Formats: sequence, structure tokens, C-alpha cells
Amino acid sequence: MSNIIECGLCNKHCRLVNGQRGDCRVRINLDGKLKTLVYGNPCAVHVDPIEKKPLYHVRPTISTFSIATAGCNLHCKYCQNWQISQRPPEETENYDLPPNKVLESAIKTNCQSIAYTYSDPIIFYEYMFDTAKLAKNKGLLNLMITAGYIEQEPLLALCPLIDAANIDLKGITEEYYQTMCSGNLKPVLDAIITMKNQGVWVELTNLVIPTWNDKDHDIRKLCKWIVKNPGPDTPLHFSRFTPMHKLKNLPPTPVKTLTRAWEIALDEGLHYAYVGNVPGHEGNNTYCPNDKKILIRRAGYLILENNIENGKCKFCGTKIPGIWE
Amino acid sequence: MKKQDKIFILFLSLSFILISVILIENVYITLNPKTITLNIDVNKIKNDIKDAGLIPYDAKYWDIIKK
Repeated sequence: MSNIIECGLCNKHCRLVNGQRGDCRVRINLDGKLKTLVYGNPCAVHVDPIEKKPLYHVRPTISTFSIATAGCNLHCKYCQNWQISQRPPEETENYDLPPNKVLESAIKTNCQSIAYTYSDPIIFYEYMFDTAKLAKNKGLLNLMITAGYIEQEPLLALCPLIDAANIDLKGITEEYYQTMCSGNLKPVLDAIITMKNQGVWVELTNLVIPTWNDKDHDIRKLCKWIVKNPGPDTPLHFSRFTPMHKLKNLPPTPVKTLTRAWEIALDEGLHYAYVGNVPGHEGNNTYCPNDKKILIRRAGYLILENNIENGKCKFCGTKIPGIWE
Repeated sequence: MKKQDKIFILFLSLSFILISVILIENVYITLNPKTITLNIDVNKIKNDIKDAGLIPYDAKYWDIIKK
């Protein structure tokens, strides 16, 4: 058939005949042209603290104007946002918010950053790209919260506009990605390295799921890869799983499992490991890798104490990587 | 000819026939591949998109890449 289009945005390379949609549910072949159905139509619009993303090394306490559209190019069985990510845009309630209005709204709500988040911003690439360009010109930070399942070329074009990214490193085996997420591991690892090399501030999140990716050797392998590739200064957030979507049969991640993961990460040489979704956990704070003192004390999304001055530990002067000013 | 030889020739002939059938079938499938015809009502899809209030926008990421 002559009017088949291959979408090369992500590594799935969906081949679409006229009228057919990609795996993401939002990109469609209409009369031989690839179209997106979600440009300027987010279904989730919120003002969040940056700590919610989580981005712990990017200007603590700032507000971020967060947008997401329907659809996703992965189909994780445990998806925490499945109500929007696993639906086509016809089934969600959408706002009319073109890039210039996103910027206006962000400024009006005193947000110093815009986050492309919740589902996966890769599937609304054009919308994110145009919005990020406007935001960059106005001095706002662009934050991308993603699974990193994207082809290298579009990613390289996007990187100059993105200041910081939290990339979901869901597991460290191909089998896990194929079974749990209907994707592959390698493109994600490549995306992490590319973003890091392109100067984007990168933090990683690993959702720890009981019986699936909570074994000591899995966590150790994941940490070893991070230390060796993006480097030990890359913050890693171990996030607590809550039963959701197709994995309601599993219990929430026990706190002791997260504590163990946190200890393994520190033992493997990561300087900044965190425990997320467990308020009050000691792993929620930022510690100086040199003198081990608390740099940022957190309670949930609140900052109770901040001992970072000019990007350095105020006690010993150790430089703390991140975007602080 | 011994009885055993007759059986062997018969077995050999049957094998030859079976392999030939498989080869012919493979050649036929290669020359006449089965195709799945998707019957998509594009007009209905366009109307559904319109009814949902969605406006298709050029997915121009490759233009962005080229710039």
C-alpha cells in the first residue's frame, strides 16, 4: 500500500495505513499525513511543587505548571496515571491550551517552570517542543518527566530546550520492559546517556514493585549501571508502588524494601539516593556526600531546611550538582 | 528385489513427494503472499475526531529535526 506512514518518533516505529493510529493512540495517518490529535489539548493541567516530579536538585520549592495529554507509547501494567495514559484523547476531558496560553497561564500562576509530565510527553512531542521554545525565551525552566522511550534524532533536537528531566528507569532487564511495559530497555538507557551528554540535568526514578523488580541483585545491577554511565552524581529516586491498573493484586511496596534499595544505592557509590512516596523517611532528605550532614530536609513536598548555598554544602563547601540558581 | 529394499524405495519416494510438496507450497506462498486488508472507514474516523472536538495537527517532528 502506497500511503503507509512509519512514525519514527519512538522506537516502536508504528507503520500506519490511512486512518490507523499508532500504539500511543494519539498519532494517526490521515490521508497520507502523520497527524497528532493532542496538540494544544492537554487533559491534565495542574500547578505542582517541583518536589512532586520528583526533581530534588532543581531550584527547591519552585512551582511548576504541569501539563499532560492523553495517550502513552508504553503500557505499563502498574501505570499510576492509567486513566489518561491508556486512553485515546476522545475519552478524556481536554482543555484548549495552545503553547502561548500555557505560557500565559504559567506566568499568571507564578510558576517558574513548565513540566511536561503525568502521561509521557514524548507522544505530544510537537506540543512540548513549541511550548518549551516559548518558555525558554521567557526564562522559564522546562522540565520533562518521561520514560525516555524515544528515538535519538528527535531527542537530540529537543535537548537544547529542556533544562531538567526525570527519567523513569523502570527496571534493568529487557525481560522486565517487555513483560511489564510493552517496550524495550535499551532505548531508555540510550536516552538517559544522551540527555546527560547534552547537558540536561537528569534525575532517575525507579518504581519498586514487590516480586517484580525488588530483588537485591536487580537493584544492585541498576545502581551499578547508573554509577558507570550517567555517573554517581545522578540522583536516583526509589518510589513506592501502590496497587494500580492491572497490578491491583500486589501489595504496596514495604518500606523496608525501599530502605534496603536506598542502602544498596549508597553502598554502590551513588551520592544522591532517595526514597519517595514515604513521608518522613530519612531517605527523603538530601545529604552531603562529603560530611554526611543534611543539606535539604523534606517532609513530603515541603522543604523544612535548606543548607545549600550557591550550589555548595554550607558546612564543608562541597559542590552539590544540580540547578540551584 | 528383496522385500526390505522395496520398503526402502517406497519410503524414499514418499519422502521425496513430501519434500516436493513443501517446496512447491513455499514457492507459492512467496509468490502469492497473504495480505491482511484493513477496512478502515476513514471518513467515520474523521467525523469521530471532529465530534470529539479534536483538531488534527501536523506531526512535524521530522521538520523540527531538520531545522
